[in-house]
Amino acid sequence: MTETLTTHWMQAFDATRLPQHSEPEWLLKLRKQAFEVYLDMPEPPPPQRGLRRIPSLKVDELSALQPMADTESVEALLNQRLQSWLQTGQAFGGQTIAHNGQTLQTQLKAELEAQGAIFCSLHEALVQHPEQVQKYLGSVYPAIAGRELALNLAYWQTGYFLYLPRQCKLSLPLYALQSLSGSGSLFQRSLVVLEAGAELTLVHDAWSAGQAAARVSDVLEIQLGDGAVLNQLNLQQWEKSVHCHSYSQAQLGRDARYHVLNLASGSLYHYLQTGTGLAQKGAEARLLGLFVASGEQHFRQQSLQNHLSPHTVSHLQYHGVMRDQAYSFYNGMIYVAEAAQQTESNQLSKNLLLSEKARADAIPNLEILADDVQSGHGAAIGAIDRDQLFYLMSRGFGQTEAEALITEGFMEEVLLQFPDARLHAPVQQLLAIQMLQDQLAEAESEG
Amino acid sequence: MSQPSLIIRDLHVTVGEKAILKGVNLTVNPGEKHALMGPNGSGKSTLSNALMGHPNYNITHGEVLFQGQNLLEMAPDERARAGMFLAFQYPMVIPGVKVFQFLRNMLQARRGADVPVREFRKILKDKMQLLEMKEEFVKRYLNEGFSGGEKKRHEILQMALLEPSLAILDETDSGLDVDALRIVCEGINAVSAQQPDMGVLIITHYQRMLNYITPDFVHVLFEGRIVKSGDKNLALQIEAEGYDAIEREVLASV
Repeated sequence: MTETLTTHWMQAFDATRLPQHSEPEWLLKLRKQAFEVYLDMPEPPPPQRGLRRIPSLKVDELSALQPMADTESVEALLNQRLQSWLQTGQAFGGQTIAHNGQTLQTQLKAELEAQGAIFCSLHEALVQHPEQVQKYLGSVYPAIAGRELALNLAYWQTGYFLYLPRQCKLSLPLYALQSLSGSGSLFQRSLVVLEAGAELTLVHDAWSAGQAAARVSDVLEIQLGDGAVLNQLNLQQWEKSVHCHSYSQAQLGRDARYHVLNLASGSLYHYLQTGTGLAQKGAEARLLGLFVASGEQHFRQQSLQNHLSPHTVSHLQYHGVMRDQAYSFYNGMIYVAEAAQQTESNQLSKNLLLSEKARADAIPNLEILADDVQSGHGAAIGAIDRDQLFYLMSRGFGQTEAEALITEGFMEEVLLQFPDARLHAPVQQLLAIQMLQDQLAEAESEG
Repeated sequence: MSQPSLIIRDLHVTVGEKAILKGVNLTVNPGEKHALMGPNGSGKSTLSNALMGHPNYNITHGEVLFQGQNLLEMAPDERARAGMFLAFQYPMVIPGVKVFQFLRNMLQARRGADVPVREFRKILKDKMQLLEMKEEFVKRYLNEGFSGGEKKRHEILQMALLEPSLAILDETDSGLDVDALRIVCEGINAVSAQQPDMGVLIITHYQRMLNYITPDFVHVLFEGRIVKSGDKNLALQIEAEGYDAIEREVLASV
């Protein structure tokens, strides 16, 4: 089905950039509206002199990613990534694997499918489960939520759809790998919907198979029904030339639990927005973050803990390890509405600076309108504590080893708060490899 | 007889601009137990930190030989691997680092060789029994949420594992109640019974630790110098008469 589009729309979308799928009319309309919202929203003002900022994604800078030249070798690489997970003994209940916007593999164990679970590409879901997609697409992040979010809603090319019916509790985690290579723009949007009482652990993995210098917009919309539980591991390990904007937000039903661990070590620029809407009584969220940056990497994290109902709880703890000239900026908001009495919320941002040129800033914000709440925030930025280092060295640890131990402990403190302990070992391994690579790169640049 | 464990000659140490130690002389032979006593601010902790190589303590003059090697040329970790041990007055909390892994890595660093987990568990179990410690203890994070007694017992456990040739115990009695003090001191005695050649330097304000651990020598540090040395009776004298009496005696003799 080909739609007649307005001139405006045609100018924005050239044929090579359009997803090669026929789409229903409502979706084309949604895309078009989103694009209009994007055009209507003012561009952010230019940065003040001397301030570093992540450039925003602009429509005129977008170009299509080249399709894979050699599908087999890409698949082999992606399988390596998957294997590295499986080698830690972690089995998955299903996986979707996409590269440069094309879904290469979707798989879900038959018994899970029999229970009514859905895990497939968003385009396949449009064909198989159109009502569900229409209901949820843009429900968490409508176009008006932000300029880049509007652009994503207009342009998304790829993504997955994950749906669990009522009381469907998955014992094995699901794995979604998004990969890219070459240059161009990748717009992905994924939907995760857990009906009441459903439970799941999801690994959302972003990793480059080969050299990549792309712009990525990755949007994840999450709806959790009453009493649903989602543990989500959000990995961003793109090539260090990628420019990535990630948005994920969860709307929680009554007594729902949302635990997310954001782990980012890739991309030259990484903007990460994590939000949680606590609009129903008893909802609880834990937002965790581990950010490992080196070289010229520039990370920004923005968070929202939105307490709209009584007895809601949210904890945020983000730890960053900055090396070389890396820079990290955290800006977080705890909002507690007048009705949200007896809520508990806190946010803590810490950064360990491993070189003299590494920098970090943190701006925690509280806006509390209710009067019977517990809330707190804190930030700490500094080099490795000399006394901690001395303590370890007095026990025979060499300086490099002692620093590594303190750094590992610093990350472990956050990692171990992630409730699905099965993922601790694989993540520890990923972190260890990353730290080693960064150390070697640092030694090389010094030598 | 082998060479002395430790020889300190005319040691001067400053912290920032301030001179703290102004010429300390001390020799510890293998197997000897020395108690170094002194009022607050006399420089006791400065001596222990300087001996272990804390970067904030500047050695401006003097010499320290550890088993004949020039200690002052060695980094803290080299001193530790050579067999020197400092039980900290205030052990550092290191979040996210598990006690078990820490202790095993520590022992591997000291031995310069891998210690298989199975072997390590066995060694650890024996040493923990000496100190009446529960096995669950090693699942915790390094000094995080430890009580005063747990911190000090953990320090002595490290000493027991590392089997140093010289152990400096920096106010190990501080923050301990009567029972914890007894357990820690008995632990120290048990370790030194297993290692009769270990030299021990006990740094303390009070006599109470010396009720359990009998020192061969007692020294009084006052304004950065050792002003008086004697046997265990000197500690009893201090307990009875206070540091004031010693102070007056010293000032009179100048």
